Amino acid sequence: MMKNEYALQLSNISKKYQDGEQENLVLKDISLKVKPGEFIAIVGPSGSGKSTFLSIPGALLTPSDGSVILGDTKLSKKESKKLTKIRREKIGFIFQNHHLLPFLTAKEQLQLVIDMNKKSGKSCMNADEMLEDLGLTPCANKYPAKMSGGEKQRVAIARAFMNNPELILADEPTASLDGIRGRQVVEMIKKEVVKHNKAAIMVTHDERVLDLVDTVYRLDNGLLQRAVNR
Amino acid sequence: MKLAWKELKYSKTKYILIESIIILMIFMVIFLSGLANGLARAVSASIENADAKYFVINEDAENLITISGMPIDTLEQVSEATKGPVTQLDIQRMNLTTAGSETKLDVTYFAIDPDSFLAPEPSEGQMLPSSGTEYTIVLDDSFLEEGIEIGDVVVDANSGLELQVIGFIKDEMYGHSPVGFISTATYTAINQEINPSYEVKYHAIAVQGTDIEDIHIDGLAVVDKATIVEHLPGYSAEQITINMILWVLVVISAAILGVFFYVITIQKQKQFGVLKAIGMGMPELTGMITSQVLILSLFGVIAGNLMAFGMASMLPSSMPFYLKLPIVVIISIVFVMISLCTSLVSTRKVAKVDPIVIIGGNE
Ligand SMILES: Nc1ncnc2c1ncn2[C@@H]1O[C@H](COP(=O)(O)OP(=O)(O)OP(=O)(O)O)[C@@H](O)[C@H]1O
Ligand SMILES: [Mg+2]
Repeated sequence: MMKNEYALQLSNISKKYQDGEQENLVLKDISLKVKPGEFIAIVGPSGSGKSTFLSIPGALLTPSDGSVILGDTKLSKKESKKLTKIRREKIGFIFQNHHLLPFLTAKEQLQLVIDMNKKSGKSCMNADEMLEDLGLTPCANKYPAKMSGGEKQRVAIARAFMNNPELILADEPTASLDGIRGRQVVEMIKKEVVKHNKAAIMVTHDERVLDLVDTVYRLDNGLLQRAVNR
Repeated sequence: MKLAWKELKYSKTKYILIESIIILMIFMVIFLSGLANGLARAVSASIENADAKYFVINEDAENLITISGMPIDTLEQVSEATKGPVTQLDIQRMNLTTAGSETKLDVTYFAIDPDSFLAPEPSEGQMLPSSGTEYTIVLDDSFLEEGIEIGDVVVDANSGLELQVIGFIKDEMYGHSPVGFISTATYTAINQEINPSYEVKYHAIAVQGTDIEDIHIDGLAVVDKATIVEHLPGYSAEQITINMILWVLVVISAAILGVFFYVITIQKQKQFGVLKAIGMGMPELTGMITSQVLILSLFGVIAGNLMAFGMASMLPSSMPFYLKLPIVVIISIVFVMISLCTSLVSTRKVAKVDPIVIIGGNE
């Protein structure tokens, strides 16, 4: 099979939530293509559906309509086992709250991803190199409780890249950090995206980091539009 | 599983607390089983120790040797109907006094033929002699704690007959009373002392072999040992009560582990959500939960057992306590199994966690 030119292709995605009697159409006919090595940001008012939108290529939510193609794989509906496998092998998540496991050290968090992918024989990143790259070597044997907020978020970034994914998805990765540290975190994501040639989508409120991404999209009223160049 | 163990290790304090409750529960259950068996032994030890498979008694004796009775020629009849050895047995509860003391000591006589297979093996002193003019008795060693020694003379309280103590024997009890072995001749003498017109009768005939098909004697029935034991006064009632408490405790303690674990699982829902979001499947998550419960319950069982066995070795011998390994093993296995079953509730909870809760701002 020929390798797809795009890491992600979303075509005519819509998503509605049943809200009592009413239907709430959160996403209206959205199409988006992201290439490997491309870092895009999505901005928009609160409640505009950014998290919902991110969950769809993240194989956490199936769209009401439209198709998702991740690398060479079309995400089918309603097969939660397959979706789990896709998340394990093809997606790297960075959450707003680092969501590291409290009982694992930084290195063990990364090792867990390697262990999870062992059975299918998928090649993963090297945990030590990844920690080194993100300046986390001193934290390798620390538990999350003993790390600073920025360090935790960097470990989360490292974890997202560990499975060598097609696509990195970040939902407000800087929300719990101050301006300087938030910017550092986005710089790290940018660096790894370029280095490993990954596609990445980041939802953010922070206008100050938008200069680090390749393209900015605005989600409003269920529609996704390319923001005018600043 | 690595993850399961790391989590237990990280939240040591929490799990040690739970574990100590589990250990205490198991200890209590095992201890209770020791007590149950101990009480059972206090009622039935001498019957269980007897090297007989069957007892011939009156049909209408309700499986009780003590209220059965038959003429002495029955022994001959039974002997002819079966190939293996048979012998007579009389069981009667009486009192003893020691020389120079007024206190009456409870005793149950097992009157036997000293040459038969029912003759016990004394742990101290001698066996009853086959014949002789003196009246002799071999006592359960709990009489040692009353200050009775070999060579002492004890007096049968009803007849006033003097019996010489020639030996002691371990673990011989009947109906909560310690047993004294005497010969049939001594037993007859005691009864003749009480009632001069006493005619020799046997309470039961013990059969050593298993070929009982041809024993057909009017008014008599052949009863196996288990049935005799079960119908000993108090035996079933005590056992049913204690065993019910015991099994209820087994179930409750396993359920407590399940409930604790469920509460912890609810606290950790977010973590399970993260694991699911980064692509861990239900089989692995189930494995993690199950192995944690397995570790907790196995460790609890082992530690609880060690405590119970340690305690048992320190108890005085007069305390009715007796741990039976097969029962302890069954209790332990059942506990682990029930614990694993209750962990399914936690597994179901985790199965219902939707990883989407992780995305977005919710903490
Ligand atoms: N499970 C759900 N059921 C029904 N409605 C939902 C559900 N999840 C989200 N919504 C609705 O969909 C809309 C979009 O929600 P979403 O969380 O995607 O917004 P968002 O852009 O991420 O907001 P924020 O910037 O505050 O994180 C909201 O109006 C929300 O109420
Ligand atoms: Mg959101």
